Amino acid sequence: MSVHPCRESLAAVKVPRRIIDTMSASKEFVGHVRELLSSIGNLSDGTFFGGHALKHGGRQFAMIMGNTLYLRVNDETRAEYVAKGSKPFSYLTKKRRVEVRTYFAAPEELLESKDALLAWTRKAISAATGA
Amino acid sequence: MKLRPFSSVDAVPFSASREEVLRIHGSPVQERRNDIGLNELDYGQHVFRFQDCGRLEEVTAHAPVLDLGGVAVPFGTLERFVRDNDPCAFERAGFLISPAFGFAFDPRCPSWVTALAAHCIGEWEAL
Repeated sequence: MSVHPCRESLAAVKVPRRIIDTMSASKEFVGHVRELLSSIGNLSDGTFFGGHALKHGGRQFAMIMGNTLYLRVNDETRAEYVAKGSKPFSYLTKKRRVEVRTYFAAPEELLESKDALLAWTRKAISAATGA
Repeated sequence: MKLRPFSSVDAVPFSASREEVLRIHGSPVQERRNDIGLNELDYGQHVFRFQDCGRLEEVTAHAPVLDLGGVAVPFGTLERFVRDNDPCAFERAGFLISPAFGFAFDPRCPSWVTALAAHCIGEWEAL
């Protein structure tokens, strides 16, 4: 599967990653992710602070900030993300940078492989439900 | 900081628009889009954060003492106060969140307290 046009266009204009990540969830990118996950039933959407939430059975298992997909992890799956070089979701407060180690950025390759994203998403759903 | 949970912060109601906050407080020291996609009006001692739709989500304020109406709690005893008085309190990413009193804070970062709109509690739970 080719890279989503939204990501291509962002790369083409060389938007700094930092700026991309502070944008609201882009509708195009949300649509791309939803399309890749279309075979998973019982999905719903919501807002998550200024971003987009993805839920399964009402449980949030992913969020999108800008053009970055973050998946829910647990103590078992976190190491898989770290091994891929993925970073946890983080944000700056008045005093410190907060790392939210329950959400890690989906490795880039997942967004180009429906099967891979589905596999990692199923683990994220399990992490969110505590299964 | 005078907090009336889910209602107002230092007399600014959670129903306030960005324009109303600007009218009350004037020009902010800094205005920016933060890492969680909210639009901040930073006045130094108060930071107001809005959704793109204009809804006020949260207000962070320097609060050596938190006035909750019937009780005033120094920041140094705030963690104990929450744990003793809010059985639904929970922790996320180093923050202690009180659904009963409508705020979140990091006990390691005196004396900053973030007042939350009612709909934000679920988002903190999902962190």
